[in-house]
Amino acid sequence: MLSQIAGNDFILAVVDKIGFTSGDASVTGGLTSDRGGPTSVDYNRWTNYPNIAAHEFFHILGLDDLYNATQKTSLMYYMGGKNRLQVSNTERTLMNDYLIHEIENMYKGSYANPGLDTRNKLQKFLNNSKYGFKFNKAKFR
Amino acid sequence: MVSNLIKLNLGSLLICVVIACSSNTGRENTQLVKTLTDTCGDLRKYTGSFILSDVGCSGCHSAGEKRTFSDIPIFSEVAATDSLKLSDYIFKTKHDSLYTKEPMLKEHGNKKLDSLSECQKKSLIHYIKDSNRKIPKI
Ligand SMILES: [Zn+2]
Repeated sequence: MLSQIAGNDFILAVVDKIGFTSGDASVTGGLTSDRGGPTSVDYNRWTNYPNIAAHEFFHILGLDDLYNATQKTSLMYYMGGKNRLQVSNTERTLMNDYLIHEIENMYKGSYANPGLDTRNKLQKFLNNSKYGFKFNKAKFR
Repeated sequence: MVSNLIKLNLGSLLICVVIACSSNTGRENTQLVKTLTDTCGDLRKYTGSFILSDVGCSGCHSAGEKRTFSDIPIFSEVAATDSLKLSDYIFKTKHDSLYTKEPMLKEHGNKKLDSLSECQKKSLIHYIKDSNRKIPKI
C-alpha cells in the first residue's frame, strides 16, 4: 500500500513488464531512476536473471554500471547474466559512503521530513510513459 | 563418389559449426573477452551501446518492428546476421553499396564507422549480436 511508504524507504517495484528500450533491439530487465531510488525489476526477466534485483538495488546505493567485457563476473555489469556476483572493495566503499552520508542527513530535519517524497517519486517513476511499465494499477493504491 | 563423400563431410561439418554457434547463446565469448582484455582499456567508449548511439545505427536500422526504409534491414535483422559478415559490412565501402536505392542516404556519413578502432568494432559486433539474444540490460 502506498500509504505505508515512508520518506526514507528504499523501494524496489516488481512490475509485469518494463517496455523501455534504448534505441536498439535490446530489452530492459531493471530500471533505476536515481540514487536513493525508486527502482524496478521486470518480474519474468528477474526470474531468468536473479542478479537483476541486487544490481538495481545497488544503483540506489550509488553504484554505476560496468561496461567492460572483462567485468562480466561483476554484479554491476550492465547486462543480466549468470554468476555475476562480484562487488569490488571500491564499490563497497562507495556504498558505505552513500549510506553514512544518508545517516548523517537523518539528523537534519529534511531527511525525516515527508518532503522527501518517496511515495510521489515512485508514482511519477512508474507512470513515466518513457519507461513503458506494465503493472496492475488497481492494486497500486 | 569421392567428391560426393567430401560434400557429405563438408555438410556435416557445416551442421556442427551451426550447432556450436547456436548452443553458445547466453554464454560468454571467451575468445572475444580475451582480445578485449589484451587491447582495450577499461573505458566506456569501447562499449557497444555507446558506439552504437554515437554512430547512430538505429537512425536507419530501426529498433522496433517497423521499417524506416524499405530496403534497409531493421536492427533485429542486422543482429541476426552472421558476425563474420557483420564485421565485413561494418566498413564503409561495403556498407555503402547496401543502400544505393536510397539516394538521401548516400550522403549519410559512415565516417564514424570507419574511424572505429579494432577494439570498438569487435565490441560493437559483440553488442549487436547480444541484443538479439534478448539478454536484458539492467
Ligand atoms: Zn545497471
